[in-house]
Amino acid sequence: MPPRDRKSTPRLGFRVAMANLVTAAAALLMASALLIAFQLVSLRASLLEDLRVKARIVGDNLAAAVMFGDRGAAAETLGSLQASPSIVAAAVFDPEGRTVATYSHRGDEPLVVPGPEFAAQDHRFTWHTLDLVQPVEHGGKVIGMVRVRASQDGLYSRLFAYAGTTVLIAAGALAVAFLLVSRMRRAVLRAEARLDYLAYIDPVTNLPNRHAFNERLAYALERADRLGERVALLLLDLDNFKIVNDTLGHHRGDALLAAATHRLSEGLRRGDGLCRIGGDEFAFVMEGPGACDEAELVARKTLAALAAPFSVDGHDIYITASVGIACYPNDAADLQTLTRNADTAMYAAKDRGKNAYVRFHSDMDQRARRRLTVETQLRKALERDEFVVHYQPVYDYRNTRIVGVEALVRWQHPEQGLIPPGDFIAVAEDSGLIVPVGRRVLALACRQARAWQTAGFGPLYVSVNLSARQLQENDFARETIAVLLEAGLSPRLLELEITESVLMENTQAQTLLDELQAAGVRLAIDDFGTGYSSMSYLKRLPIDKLKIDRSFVRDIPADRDDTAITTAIIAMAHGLGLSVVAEGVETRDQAEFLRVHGCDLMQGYFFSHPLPAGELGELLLRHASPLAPVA
Amino acid sequence: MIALRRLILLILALAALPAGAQPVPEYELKAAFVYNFVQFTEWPADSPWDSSPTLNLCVSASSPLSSALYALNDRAIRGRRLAVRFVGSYDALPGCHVLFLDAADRPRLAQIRKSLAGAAVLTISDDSDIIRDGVVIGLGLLDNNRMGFEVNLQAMRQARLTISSKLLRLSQPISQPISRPSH
Repeated sequence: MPPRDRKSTPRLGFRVAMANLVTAAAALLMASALLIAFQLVSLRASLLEDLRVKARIVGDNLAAAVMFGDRGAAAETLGSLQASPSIVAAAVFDPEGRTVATYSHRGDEPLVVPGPEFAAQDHRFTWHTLDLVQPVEHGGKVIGMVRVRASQDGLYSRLFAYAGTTVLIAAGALAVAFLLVSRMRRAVLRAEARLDYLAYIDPVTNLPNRHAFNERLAYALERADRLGERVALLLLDLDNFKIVNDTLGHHRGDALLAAATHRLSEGLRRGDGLCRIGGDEFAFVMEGPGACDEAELVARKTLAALAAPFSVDGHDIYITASVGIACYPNDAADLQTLTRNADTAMYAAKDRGKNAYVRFHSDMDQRARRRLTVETQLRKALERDEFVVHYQPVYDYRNTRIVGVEALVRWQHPEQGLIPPGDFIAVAEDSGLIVPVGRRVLALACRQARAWQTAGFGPLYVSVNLSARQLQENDFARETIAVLLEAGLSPRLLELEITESVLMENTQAQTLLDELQAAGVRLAIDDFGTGYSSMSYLKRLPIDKLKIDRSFVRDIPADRDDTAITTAIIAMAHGLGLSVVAEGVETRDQAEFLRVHGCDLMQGYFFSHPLPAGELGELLLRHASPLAPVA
Repeated sequence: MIALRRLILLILALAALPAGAQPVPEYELKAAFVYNFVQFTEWPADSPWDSSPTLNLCVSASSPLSSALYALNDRAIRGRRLAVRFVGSYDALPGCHVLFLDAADRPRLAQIRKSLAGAAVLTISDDSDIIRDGVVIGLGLLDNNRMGFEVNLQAMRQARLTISSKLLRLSQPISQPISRPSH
């Protein structure tokens, strides 16, 4: 969301609140005015009523005085009106219109006989006074007329008091209402801000999330178009973050993310938008004319910033990152392509051994497309059952007997012929297709092993490689046992090979391995010595065998380091009660060296290339009677 | 309301007349007073007042006021008709509600008293002797030389009459009876 819009929201809200307030004030004012007007009318009505009653009483009392023309008594009677402060003057007239007596409260001018204006109505309001004419009657006869004048000053002061009170109450009510409304408004705004925050901010790192990133990037691209500038997009993926999460727990994983975020933010310019767009994926959006040129510098700084170890709960954790850079509009014409290309570049960085940055290049796009093609073809290959298994025999050097075979997958492509695993396994791993492929290989290998057993080649174990993805399958152990049952192969004759790194990245695999071992399946560590070579898991996990990596075997016996490592591995394996196999044995010297140092099981070109099942069958047939090893 | 309007129009019409152009003669003023007294007086329930269709005003035929009083004859008063009766003998005063006495009645006063004997009769006089002897209302001049009257409350109670407080309030001690110079 562009920041301008957010700023304008409260101002607009303020205006709406003010408009509401003014409307409410106007309504209250009108109500107050109506109430005051009503009060004026009712006060006047009650004044008139009061005056009428008094005039009637006075008139009644005046009857005798008027009748006898007693001015003194009449004046005295009128004087009794003094008790009523509102009455300012009064006069009584005889039927001939002569004044009998007058009264005035404050020495006002005496009232005169009422004029014709009283013909229609017995009372008359002026601004300040109310005049009332009342006949003086006796015995049903009119004997005179009394005129009374009341001041409306008292009425007005009461009215003003009432008006003041009304306005005060209205203002008070308005103030209270305004306070309540504004408090509610603030609460609503806070809630909105919180919702907004939750929708756009990742709570672990307090960075904008993927949603916010997309909006920000779209906004940046739009602005770049307008200003003729550029946008560099850096996608950063923490290498091996998953291991941290799995081994130290999510809580520490989150702490690590927060710490990494802190370091990443420190090295950035203010305008560079850092977002967390996935579990261990971050993105920077760099804007400005020089964005693309600076992007690589930023990537270098970023990698440098992460180089120092992170201390999380006493653990020193080293993390590295792979950064992919793509530039707009140079590398992509739209947002989707830009993101995809940055992603491609990031994977290219991972392929280069991680802890690196790669600027997107159009070749990568082709590679990515090729990858996609391979993936599509792999799916077809699964449907068409184009995978075959080749077997490399494992020899016991002491008696040159074949004791087992390692199953190796090949792709029999209808057009491209036989494709080696190096060309498709990585794609299969990435796309998850490795799981069905692995399942297929396992089934084929078990069936083949059973077939050789049936053919009378004696107990011959088959070794199958496992990928990380397969280990993550929940019911892998059950499936494996089902395959063994179906093939009719003894679990003792199946060996599963797991590389050290796969084992380290899947610490939860322990249960699975325990289950498999309980079923009788044997487990081997592949490429031993190339990974972490942690001694602890050798003790903890149900391992039966170590395979010495071909990289150590290659230079023995000439290389002193490799001979040292190789002999150490052999000694350690024997010490732990594990059997040991050497891979990649290509010369007799190597084979002799290994045999001298106690490693009797070997495989490699010195003995045999991986062979199709049929050819291996022939080899087995030849070995049925002891012969010299075949070169 | 209509009555009121008529009254006001009447008053306005009257107001146009020159006020107080003709001084009211003494006898007529006294007769008007007598008439007005009647309007403020209540007779007891057992008096002939209730049964009689007329309100009887008795006066000696020889009284100088008789003609002025007679002018009131047949006037409507409190729903009745005023009847002026001239009395020669005071042996009996049948049906008198109001009795006007003047100086000429002095010699007969004892007899009159006897005849009245506590009857519910509103006695009025303008003679100072008779007033002093005890009539209910005495007419005379006030200090300001205007006509006034005084009410003898004791006589009023003896005659079992009720006079409106409005009238009582106007009662003032009279300084000299008016009628004396005429006798």
